[in-house]
Amino acid sequence: MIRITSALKWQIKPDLGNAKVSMLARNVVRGFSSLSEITILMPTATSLPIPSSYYPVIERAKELPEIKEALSLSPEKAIPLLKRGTEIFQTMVGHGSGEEYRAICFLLSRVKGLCGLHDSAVEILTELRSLSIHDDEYADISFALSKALFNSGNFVDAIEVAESFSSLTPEEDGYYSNTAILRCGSFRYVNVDEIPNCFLNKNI
Amino acid sequence: MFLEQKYIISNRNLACSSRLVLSLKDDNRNSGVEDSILSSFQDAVKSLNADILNATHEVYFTPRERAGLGIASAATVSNLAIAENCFENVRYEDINLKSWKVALSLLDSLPLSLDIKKDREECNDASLPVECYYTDLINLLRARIHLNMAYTYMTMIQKSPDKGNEEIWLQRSFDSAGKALRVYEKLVLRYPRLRTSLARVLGVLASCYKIGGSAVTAEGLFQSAIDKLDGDALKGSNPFSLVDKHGILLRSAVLYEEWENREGDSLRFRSSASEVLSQLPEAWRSAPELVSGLWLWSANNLHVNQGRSIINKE
Repeated sequence: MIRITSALKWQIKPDLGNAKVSMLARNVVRGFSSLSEITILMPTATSLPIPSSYYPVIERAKELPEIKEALSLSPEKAIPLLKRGTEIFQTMVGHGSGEEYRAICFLLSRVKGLCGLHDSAVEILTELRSLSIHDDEYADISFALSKALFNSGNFVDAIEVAESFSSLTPEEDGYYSNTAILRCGSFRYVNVDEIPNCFLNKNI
Repeated sequence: MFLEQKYIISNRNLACSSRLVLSLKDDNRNSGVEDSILSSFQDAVKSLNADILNATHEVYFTPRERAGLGIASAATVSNLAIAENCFENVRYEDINLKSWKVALSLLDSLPLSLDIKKDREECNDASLPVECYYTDLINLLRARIHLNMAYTYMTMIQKSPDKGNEEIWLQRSFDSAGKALRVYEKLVLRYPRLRTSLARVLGVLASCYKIGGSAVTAEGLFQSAIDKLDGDALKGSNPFSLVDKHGILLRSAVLYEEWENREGDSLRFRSSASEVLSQLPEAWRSAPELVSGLWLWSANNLHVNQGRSIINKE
């Protein structure tokens, strides 16, 4: 019953539009509503970084009571609500091109990671990666996936995923490496000790 | 920072760090693997160096991108230092701490704050990092490096047969831990999850006091460190906090071992340490405490929303 009610509530505002999105994005900028929200959304050294493009989507998804409540709870307590949120968004085929579904799935994986459920986070992200529709999104999810694999101790897989996005040599194929080389120019050997000198004039 | 570069830098760091922890499993250790991992970290640093050199004269890099490269580079050099310290058979200061000093120099050479207005005009981008957050990020990385150095000085005292340097290293460990503590104490109010880093500093300080002969102070600090790694901090855990807690419990146990009539406490702490170890994924169980000093840099560390939100909340 709750699920149906929530879904209906969401459908009343089917498309918030760009203006609304920017307003919500500004709300994100102004401040999180609670410490729990900070815990769930804030990046830390080993937590899974939320792709920046998902922030406005998550903000928009807060219109769904389950998501809003989940963000006010501890990660452990947020899990069932986020799961319900993904189910609700999954049933709304075509809504926002599934953007909300993907963003909340990502959030669920992150929260699972925060609870030490790294294998479960890996599972969600693996599936989510196949649903991504932009190159950036795919790369962001891949990075999160390699971090989740790292956390879960699957180092070999973590290396494999991470290295598919970390090539720098022209011999290696791949959109990311080639684009980087084109844009950044040739890479040269520089002694480690010389790094600080680049910044000494403080003109950066 | 260019999108593609962001992926390359983040993923390179993560791949190198994964290789490092994997290699530290007992059955994977050999000098060939170690050399290869050090080379991969060094390659990552060299690539960043080249980016930085380009960034100093290429107009299409904004100040934010340049500063981001500087932070990424310092984080990578710091991770390189961790690898060196995990692998080296303690060649002492000349080798082990050199990279951390390079990372600190790099951070020192970055601007203290970013001119957001100028940056905004330059790149016509409304979603810019917050000045305060940028400064916090630099301070956090600096604190992490000081903490890693403090831990290394502390372990050097325990490993080294040369007792002549003990007093100097102890003082340096105190100094570095003190610098880290000042930053964490201030920033933990803004970023609650820094409690785990604060616990790590307290654990190092406790060990320093123990080495210095102040057992009672050491006991208090160990307890405080353990408390900070309890409950949500550990539940909402990543492997690093568990690795830290295991190390701190073991060092507490050693303190009680050397304390008259406290053998019971020592056994209790050893048992707790084993319990914590069992919570770690199997692959993480042989990881040394120092690996929790790795900084898995990601471009999202510089993302606007998180930082500004938290800052404005104060």
